[in-house]
Amino acid sequence: MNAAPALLEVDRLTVEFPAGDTSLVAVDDVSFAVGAGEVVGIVGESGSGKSVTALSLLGLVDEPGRVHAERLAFAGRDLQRMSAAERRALLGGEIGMIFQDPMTSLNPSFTVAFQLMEAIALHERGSRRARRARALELLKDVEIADAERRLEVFPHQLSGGMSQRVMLAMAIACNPRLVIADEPTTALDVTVQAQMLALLLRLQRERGMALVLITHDLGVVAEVAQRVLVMYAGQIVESATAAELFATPRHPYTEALLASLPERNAGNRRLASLAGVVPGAYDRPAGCLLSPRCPYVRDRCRASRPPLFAVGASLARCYYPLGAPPQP
Amino acid sequence: MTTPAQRSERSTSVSPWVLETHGLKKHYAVAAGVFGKRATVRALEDVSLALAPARTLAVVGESGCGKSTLARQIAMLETPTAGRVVVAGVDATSADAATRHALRKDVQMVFQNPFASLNPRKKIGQALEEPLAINTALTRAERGERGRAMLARVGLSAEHYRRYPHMFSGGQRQRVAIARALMLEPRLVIADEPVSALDVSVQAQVLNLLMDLQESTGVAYVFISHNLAVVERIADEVIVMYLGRVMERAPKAALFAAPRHPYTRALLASTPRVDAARGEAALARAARSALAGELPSPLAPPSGCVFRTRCPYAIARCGEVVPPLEPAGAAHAAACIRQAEIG
Repeated sequence: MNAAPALLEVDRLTVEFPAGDTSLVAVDDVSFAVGAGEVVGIVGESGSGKSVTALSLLGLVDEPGRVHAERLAFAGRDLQRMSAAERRALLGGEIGMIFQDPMTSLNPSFTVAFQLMEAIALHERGSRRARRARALELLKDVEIADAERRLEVFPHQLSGGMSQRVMLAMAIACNPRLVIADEPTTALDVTVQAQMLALLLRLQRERGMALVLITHDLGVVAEVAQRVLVMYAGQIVESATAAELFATPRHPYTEALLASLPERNAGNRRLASLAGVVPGAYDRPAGCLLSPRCPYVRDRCRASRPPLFAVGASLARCYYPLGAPPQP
Repeated sequence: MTTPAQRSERSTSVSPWVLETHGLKKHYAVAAGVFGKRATVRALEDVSLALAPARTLAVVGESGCGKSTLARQIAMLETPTAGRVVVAGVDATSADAATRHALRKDVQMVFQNPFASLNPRKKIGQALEEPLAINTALTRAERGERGRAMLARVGLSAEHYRRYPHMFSGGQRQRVAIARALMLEPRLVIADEPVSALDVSVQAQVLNLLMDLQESTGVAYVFISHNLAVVERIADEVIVMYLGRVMERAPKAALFAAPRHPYTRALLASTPRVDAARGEAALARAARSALAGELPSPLAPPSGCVFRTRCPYAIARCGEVVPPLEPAGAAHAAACIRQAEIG
């Protein structure tokens, strides 16, 4: 990737949830890095581990979940060695976050001004008046019309799109270097989603923030991300630049995801689809996790789990990557 | 599934349409504010449409456009404020209770959330047999036979018959919901966002299933969705709604190739696509579709054209008249007074 040290380094991250005498592996040996100012998309379907990956970076995985990693570092600082207080200071400070449902992320009992000023106060000094001025400036930054008046309203008086803008204002309140956005536009209507994505990208550029965008929507990733990680059943199955991924997918799962998109099926009325479902906690196959559903499966795939191999400029977790010779 | 003889027992209609609505309106009275000043939400205004057997009509629009209100009127779950719903040639709005009851068997629904629409305490088999037990004189054995046959048709195996809903994935539950909707061999199924809660690979399976079942049974679909990519796949005709009104009505190919209404264009431009270039394109696209702001309150819709407050082409005259649906090609109509000018 980049010669400069990455802003976010994740090495061999595993998250498990004990269940009886076994445990559910939600995130399985995930490694990636995000450079300063880079936009990385993490795509996957339900149960792929994409949200748990984000939560574990933020230190928000609840008991009894267990997080292990060789290394989790932000700007060269080891997140696992930090005290709880230091880690909390990082959140909402240098790392901002946005979740899917703005209605449940905002406190219904306090005004927008109160919540924004609270976020600012956690990480910045200054008088009440200064914080209020800053809150107003933030609302204008996220393109909320009539910002002066909106400061005084309660969350229920805002539409979904407007609430998500307020969430974004809170996330960028302390000039973060990294924003982690988990399905930030999934609950929004398409015309509002387009506004929100354009806004997110504008702020990312102007402020030089890195952005990790977690989504199930391949269209959103295609339009926003520079690099994409595709997750399946807790593992990264492919990692590539957005251009590479959509032009020449290397992993059969990526290919299947693209093929099942209605827009990729012009001409034939039936959609291509992958048979079966994502393996659960108790039926994880011994070999490649996609092997029960993969149209190209061979004996080797059922016998052992493939690691991530370099294929051209991409990484793919497959013994028989598409459009490339098989792995030795 | 149903032989022509069986059909004629049920209705002697010779209407070429499974479903027609004429000038359908639905207003809800709501209390505005704590002290109960009454206000009216105009959820549906003047919606007319017609749907032939074995065809799919997609209803597209964002939150608050009235698409689910339309579904409730067609399913005869509510009585419209004005206008008519005609099912297989029979006017449901003026019919007596017995006729309406008979018509309801012809119109079934599939909902968005398969986790909420199946009774968690009933086995799948019971859920499938229940409509038959209520509406037919079939024996228990006959009901079981039909239930199992239907389960096979939606791609589930016989062993699933005795399982409970929580034992199924989202996609499988939606298959069960579709099976249940088809148990009474309806002429029309209203599917309200049936694949929105599903992952894309499962979404493709369920869409394929819906299309297969339509081919084999001749059922017509009213397919309600906010997702234009899905609509482009499954629909024959499309109506685009905004704030309770029809903005554009067209055969699918015409709508996607040559959208006439500024709102349809904005919707198409806003839909993220994998084939688009990243970054710059997203910004340019948002600028191009230029839909400023959000949906106005349905309690106080704009005068004239309801879309004008967000329309990049709006002029003063748009606030004065409610634009009628004007022909824009074969079976294609748009409610915009400037559609010819903006080309």
